[in-house]
Amino acid sequence: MPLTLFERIWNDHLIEDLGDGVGLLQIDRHVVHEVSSPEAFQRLAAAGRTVASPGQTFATQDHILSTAPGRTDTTFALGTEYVRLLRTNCARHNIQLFDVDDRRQGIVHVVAGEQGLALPGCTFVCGDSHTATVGALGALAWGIGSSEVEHVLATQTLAQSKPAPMQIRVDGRLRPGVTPKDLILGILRSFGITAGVGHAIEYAGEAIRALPIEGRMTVCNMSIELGARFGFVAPDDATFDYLYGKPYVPAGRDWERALAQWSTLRSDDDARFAKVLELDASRLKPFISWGTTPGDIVAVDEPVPDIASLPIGRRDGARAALAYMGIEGGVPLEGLPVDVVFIGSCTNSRLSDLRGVAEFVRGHTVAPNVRALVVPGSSQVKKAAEDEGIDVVLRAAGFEWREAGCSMCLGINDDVVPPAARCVSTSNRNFEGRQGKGARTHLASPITAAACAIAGRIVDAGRLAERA
Amino acid sequence: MKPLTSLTSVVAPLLRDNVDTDCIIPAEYMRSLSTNPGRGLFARWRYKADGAEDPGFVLNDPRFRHAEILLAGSNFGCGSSRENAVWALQRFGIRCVIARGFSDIFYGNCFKNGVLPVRLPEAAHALIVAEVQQRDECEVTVDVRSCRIVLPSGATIGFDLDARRQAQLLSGEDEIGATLRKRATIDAFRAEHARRAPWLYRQSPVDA
Repeated sequence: MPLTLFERIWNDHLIEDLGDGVGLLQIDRHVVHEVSSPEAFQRLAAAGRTVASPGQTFATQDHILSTAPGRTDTTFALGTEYVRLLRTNCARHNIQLFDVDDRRQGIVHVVAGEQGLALPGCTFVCGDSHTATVGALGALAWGIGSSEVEHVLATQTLAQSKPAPMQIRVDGRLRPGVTPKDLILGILRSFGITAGVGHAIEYAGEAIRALPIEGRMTVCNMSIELGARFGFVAPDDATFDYLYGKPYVPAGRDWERALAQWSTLRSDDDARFAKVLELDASRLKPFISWGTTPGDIVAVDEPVPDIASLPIGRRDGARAALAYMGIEGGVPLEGLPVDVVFIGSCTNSRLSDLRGVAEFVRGHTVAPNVRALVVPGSSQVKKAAEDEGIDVVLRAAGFEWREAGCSMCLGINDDVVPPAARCVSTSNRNFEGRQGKGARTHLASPITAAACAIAGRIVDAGRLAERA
Repeated sequence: MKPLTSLTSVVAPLLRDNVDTDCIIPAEYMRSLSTNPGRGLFARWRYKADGAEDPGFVLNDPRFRHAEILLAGSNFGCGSSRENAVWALQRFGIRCVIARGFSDIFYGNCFKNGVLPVRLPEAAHALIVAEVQQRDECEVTVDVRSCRIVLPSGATIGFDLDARRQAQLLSGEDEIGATLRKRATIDAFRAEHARRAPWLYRQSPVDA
């Protein structure tokens, strides 16, 4: 029977069919972080249980840890409890931790790529909804809740409802100035935030193939914004080149054997998907969000939709979103003053993102009304960027250059957007209050965010560059 | 986990679509492990800028303060995987959420905490909405055993619930214990998997 790649990896890890569409799956890699793990460790201990497979478990500090330059455990005082508990729990259970001062520390989904924790064809889970990021490497990766974290710690397995296989095909080529972030925002604009509920998304087509691995990570990262827990790209030579030589990637004879297996990881030509969506990459533009769900997307140079133009069922939500965002329907976003620019998060904080930003801002300065932050995705990204002088360019332009972590994406530490302030953010969620109480978030690519920081208002990066 | 067999309660209507888990519990209410998550439930809507309760919010209405059933719109619980969202509902006293749809992660997290998410098609959902809007206080019974909701008018609505999750709610069983009893099967699978993909089982030692 022809199989999709999703079914192939699922079957390969299916220990037992539990009925009702639920499978008991073997978990190959589990990464925990300081915020979604304490309850799981505590209940594990209370039940007198231990960690089943510490060698397949990793940990990093990222969510609540401060990103202030020179930060320590206690810089953000309310986070100290979490940071220290993770350290204690990892030591007790012999789990490899990338700790606060470790050169490998960083956002779990950035670290998982650069350390080679996620591998093609493996099952990979983490107590964080953006875990599908490493689906870019051909892993079956998904986000789980704290009870599931506890289940995986205790058993190295997970009882999981089987989603339906789905394909999003993007053919054609991205135009110059259109980035991988614009590609996924374009998908969200076309298909909406529930298109992927109950599904596992395989991204395919010429435009996906043409993306470098870090670009594929940006796309897979926002699968959850489409409602899908799972999102991935079949591995190819670009994947293998990316992985080769990374610390936890198999080496020597293991590499040869793994490569032979990984090369077979694709959907059969005649495999059946429950749902197929198609998009033409050549029609995509730089996008930005206008409302309070990640499906509220317009091109930067287009007006926000007019309420009357929306389907009746969406009007109340859109009206509330416009009021919250302090904008009007039918009017362009361009020209709106910006207070904060955040470049970071598991969506856009990798070296290629920071290189693009540095290249764009060289010779410019951040507008005086803007607080602009660049938060590298990992300590390794930070070091690599500093080795190239990226930090010097950004600091000279007026950006804050911070330590690695999740930061202003979720506002759980003190990196928050003030009430009613407008923030152009390279992160993944523009929910009401996500970046702080009353914060108004506009999701965009790193290049668009950089252009807005320089202009001090929302602007199309291409237009800003033309004028310069 | 506390079993859930049947529940009779007034229904609190929160008829918005796409209520995300950041709205259910904002991150700032997750800054301490000792904070009662129920305090953070819908904090952005429940409290005014000065911290006082907003009397306009449904759960501050005296009729709904002790509601155990929440009636929501579509795509409830989207966004972050934070299980704190379910803990917040549960600690506030909500044991059942009826909606036109849920995010996959939130839906799964509910069952781990003895909270029943009921997914209804549009027509059945509209029936409940109509009865809730007709009455000052609409009390319904949700029965996990028969998978039915009984409305004040006497009308009943059936809902889908897979047998495995139904059994989990009814017994309050420890899922991890059940998995651990399969240890022999799991070990045999892992041994065979390790032969097929040995690199997934070979790890560098933990840093000293």
